[in-house]
Amino acid sequence: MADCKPGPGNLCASAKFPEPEIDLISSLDDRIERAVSFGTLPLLLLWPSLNKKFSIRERYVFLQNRLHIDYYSYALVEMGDRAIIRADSAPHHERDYHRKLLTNFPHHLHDENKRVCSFSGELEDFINLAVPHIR
Amino acid sequence: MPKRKKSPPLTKEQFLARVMSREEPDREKIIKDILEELHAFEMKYRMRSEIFFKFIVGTPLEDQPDFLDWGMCYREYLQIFQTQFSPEKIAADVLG
Repeated sequence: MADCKPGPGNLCASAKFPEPEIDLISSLDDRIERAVSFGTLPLLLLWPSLNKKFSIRERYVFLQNRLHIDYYSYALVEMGDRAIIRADSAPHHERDYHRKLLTNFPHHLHDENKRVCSFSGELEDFINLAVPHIR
Repeated sequence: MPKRKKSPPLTKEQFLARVMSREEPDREKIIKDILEELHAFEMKYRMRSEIFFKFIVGTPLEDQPDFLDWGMCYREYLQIFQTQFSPEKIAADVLG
């Protein structure tokens, strides 16, 4: 990762996302300030021509001098607000659609068939799941 | 749709330099953004954030992207109030 460029641009490159159709960098400073000042980072990647948007929202807390993601919601959404796939850490589900206990409660994914599945809680894993739905 | 202007890509060094050299955060603007976001949710769902937070957050009804985002945004708003109007800050303001 040493030669990676920072920020969402790199997120897109590493995940083979199409280039977002907005100017992300100029709004990034505000987002960073919001995360630093109030502990929440909301980011939105938009592809109007593909009719899709990718929403990331993370809330941070300091525990024992380390930064943790306290709460998050990741979603790939069609314009018009229909979620294609999404993941979050709200403790609403204990079991997946097979009635098996989630392997990493409370993290879970709502797949393209609206089924609840186990999920790692890692943004990178969500991106890898989202990429095939974007093009 | 008009093509939007894109910023040139930043190197890691440029990005870090930009973050490290940033000026005092414009808290007023951040708070305004948060309030606008809350207002947009309130208009979309025709519900005050306080009502939403009291009756929907923490229940199974919360389990949709907008509501999860709304809940996080409202928590952020509450945190601002705690920061701005903590007992210590009020006492400091009163005592000078």
